[in-house]
Amino acid sequence: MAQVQSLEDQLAWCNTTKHYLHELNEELKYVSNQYKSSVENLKEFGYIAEHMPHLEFLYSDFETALNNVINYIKNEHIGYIDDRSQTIQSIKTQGVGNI
Amino acid sequence: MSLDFNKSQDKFIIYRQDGRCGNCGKDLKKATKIHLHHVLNKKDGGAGIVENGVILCGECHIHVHDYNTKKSVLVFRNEFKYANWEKNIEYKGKKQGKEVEFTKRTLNEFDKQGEEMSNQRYESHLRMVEGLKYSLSQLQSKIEIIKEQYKKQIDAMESATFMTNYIEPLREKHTHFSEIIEDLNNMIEEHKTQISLHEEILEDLIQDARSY
Repeated sequence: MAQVQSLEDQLAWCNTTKHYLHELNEELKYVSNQYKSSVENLKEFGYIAEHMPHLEFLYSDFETALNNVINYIKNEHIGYIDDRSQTIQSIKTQGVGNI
Repeated sequence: MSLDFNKSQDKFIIYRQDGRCGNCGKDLKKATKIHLHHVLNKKDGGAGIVENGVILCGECHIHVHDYNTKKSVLVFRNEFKYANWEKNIEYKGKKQGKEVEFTKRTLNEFDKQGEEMSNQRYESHLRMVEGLKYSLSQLQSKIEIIKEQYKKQIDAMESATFMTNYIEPLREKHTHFSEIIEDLNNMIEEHKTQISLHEEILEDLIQDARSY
């Protein structure tokens, strides 16, 4: 019984941690989109033409950096926790003891 | 302030351009079509005032809309070689009844309205730039919170003594994660600094327009 509880706790841990990391990735995507919209709106509403390339460059730099972080979190952290989660799940299904 | 031109303005602009296309100089009597064009587009707040109007032949009007990239009003105005913007002053000095009165009034109002128009645009740009900087600050707070939550999760796991075999790999992952977050924070800080430059430019322009 204690072992089952331990597996449940471990699964809950994985889910909560994964939730935080997902939340971070969503926030990064959201701000990247906001950045893009701000630059597009400035262009659309006649912001000084000679200063636009600088803003466009900044956005492109930001987008690249954020995509790298998003992929890193997804592959290195969420991926790892997913693996752990699946292992625990299969142990639970097979009714084997603690990992 | 009306966004459209009226007939008197139309006549005045033709007079100002000596009856020629403001862009190519073609005699407008020989043009198949003519258009009274807003230099600063109506959707960008361009008003129906003579300082924002240029008469173009049909061909030039299509061409202008083809490359209608956003520029400052002054850059746009200078692109129309035959617009004779300065001729307003001459016209203002002539005594030709109602049309003169209309022109004088328009010119007097332009100083005020034109500046207000530019100022409103700069203020709206400034709000956009400030909004972007605020979003970046919010993101910085958020990533710090999640970094701490992640750490607390690992601490909690350790104190609960489960998944003990995975504590070390996870601690290493968190250390690397913290480094990545630190780099990200520095990058965001640098972006805020760069965006502040645009804020300063806009604040200067607004200040200039107010003291005009």
